[in-house]
Amino acid sequence: MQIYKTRLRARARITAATAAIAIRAHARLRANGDAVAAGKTPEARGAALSARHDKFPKPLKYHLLFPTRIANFFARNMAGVIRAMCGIVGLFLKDRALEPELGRHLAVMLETMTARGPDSAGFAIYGERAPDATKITLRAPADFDVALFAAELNAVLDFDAEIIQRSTHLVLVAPSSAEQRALAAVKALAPQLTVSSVGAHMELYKEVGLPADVARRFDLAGMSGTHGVGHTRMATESAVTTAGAHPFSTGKDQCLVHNGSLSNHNLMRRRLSREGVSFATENDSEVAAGYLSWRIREGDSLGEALEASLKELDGFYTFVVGTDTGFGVLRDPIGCKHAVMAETDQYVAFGTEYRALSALPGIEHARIFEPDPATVYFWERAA
Amino acid sequence: MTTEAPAKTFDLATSSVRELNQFLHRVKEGANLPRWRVLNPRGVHAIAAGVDADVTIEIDGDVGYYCAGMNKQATVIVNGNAGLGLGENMMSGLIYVKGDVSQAAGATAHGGAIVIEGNASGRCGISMKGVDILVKGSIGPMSAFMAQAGTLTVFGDAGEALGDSIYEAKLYVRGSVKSLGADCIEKPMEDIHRAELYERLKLAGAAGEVDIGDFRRYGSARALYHFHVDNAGAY
Repeated sequence: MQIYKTRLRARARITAATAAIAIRAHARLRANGDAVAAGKTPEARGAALSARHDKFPKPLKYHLLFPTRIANFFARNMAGVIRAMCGIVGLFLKDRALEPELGRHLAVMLETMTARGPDSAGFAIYGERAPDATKITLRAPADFDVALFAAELNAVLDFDAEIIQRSTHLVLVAPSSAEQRALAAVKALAPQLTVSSVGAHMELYKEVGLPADVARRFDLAGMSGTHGVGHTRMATESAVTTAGAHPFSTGKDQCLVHNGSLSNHNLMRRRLSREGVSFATENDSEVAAGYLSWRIREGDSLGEALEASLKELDGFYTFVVGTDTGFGVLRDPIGCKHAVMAETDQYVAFGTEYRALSALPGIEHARIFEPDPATVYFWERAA
Repeated sequence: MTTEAPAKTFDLATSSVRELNQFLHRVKEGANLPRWRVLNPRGVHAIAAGVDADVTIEIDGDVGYYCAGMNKQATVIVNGNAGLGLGENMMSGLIYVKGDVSQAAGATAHGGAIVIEGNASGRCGISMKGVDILVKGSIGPMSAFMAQAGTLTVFGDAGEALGDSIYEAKLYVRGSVKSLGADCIEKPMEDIHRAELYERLKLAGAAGEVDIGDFRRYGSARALYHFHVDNAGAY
């Protein structure tokens, strides 16, 4: 981990192991930065969206249209023989004493799900919350010169900012009041950077490769926090790229991981594009994330947005959404994708398979259950 | 479980499930039928899948997917919870689970018996073809979907769309049924059915645990066996 600071104001989390490059700077944000930031917000257009695609779920008897033989196929298919792709893990801590170990547990859970998703992995972690600061997680290309970027950024910013590097990802910590200016400056100075997430609490990392390698390069095991979600990907609907890896950010301090595949994602992408939602990939899960963001932008709560997705998104899926205060779970109406949860006095944990939970402390006495299909679950605590 | 022949112990913390299954597959007919004990399963998949021998395999802990799948003859005891597809396509033998089981327990199973002390999740007994499943807790939605033969007995409640598109399997539920699937109806519980139910409970060692008179019987209305244009609206 590399920390680039714009001021020599030491912060507690700098340890001997972290080399710090400190640069003193006091500069002015260029005027055009503000303009870029202002022009970004798409117009709100009202929530009237036709429900004509509301065809899911089909009644089960619909399947009778198929030959009887389908039952065998269906049974096997549902049992996961064919669709054993992608793994999701989530851990929400109730016991603050476990917070320093969040990353360590999440890393083990993620690695256990390697067989379900060896292509790429990612995770969102809700870690240290700096007062009045926003964390902007950025993804950089391999040859990106971080030191140069930090220096250039210093030259244009008129506030304290800090850049923490973890492998290919940079977390830019800026005062909340200067968030838009920081984003505009990043866009102007280094358009090759991708904004992975924005939030006061959440950092979002993802990369191509085996889950264990991805966890290691970002030092997930060393991270602490209140909760986190992770994903291992076996690509089915689009290419294996970092951008196609999960989680997807759906808004400030919000992310989505998805297991399954959506069948109406192209149609939905076109509809959302008309609503001003932009997409970076051909990925179906990004569409789900974009859909939720759009619903929230139109005034839905996250819970309402998830409820609405039951009608609008066709396909099979389990979603886990990370929020500032906790996480939520939603399975499609026929519960196609597996999901198992464990709850103790210390934590609530989610896994696509029970294996992922098997190393958690006290799991032998945990309440183990499967979330019901088409039911929105939330575990939260006061922010 | 009565007789205590010395058990072979297999620790999955130090060996792979493949090694275990290879050992189990090598047990030949007429061998001295050992008892097997499996430790530290930790949710691993396919434990004791494909066994074809009269052995008893006791697993201490939670198992993953397809435990005892395709089982023939063997008695498999799980002292914990089981994942998806428990005993799928089982032909004969007995599977006993002390905890809860995930979806699609006994999927397409042709014979033998599955006894679950806890709850079973959705699609329990999907496309079952002759297995006798007994769940002492409740079962999830879409259970006995397209079930063809065998019995599914539930001490607790059943979730939505029970027995959707069912053929000739018999469903006995003691608690409530959230909803019945297409072509599944309640049928009168007659002496012959009470006798059959008692027989099933006795075989599972559960006779006397509950009052047979509390159960209700569900089965196929046989209206959707073949496509008929008059039923087009029902599909």
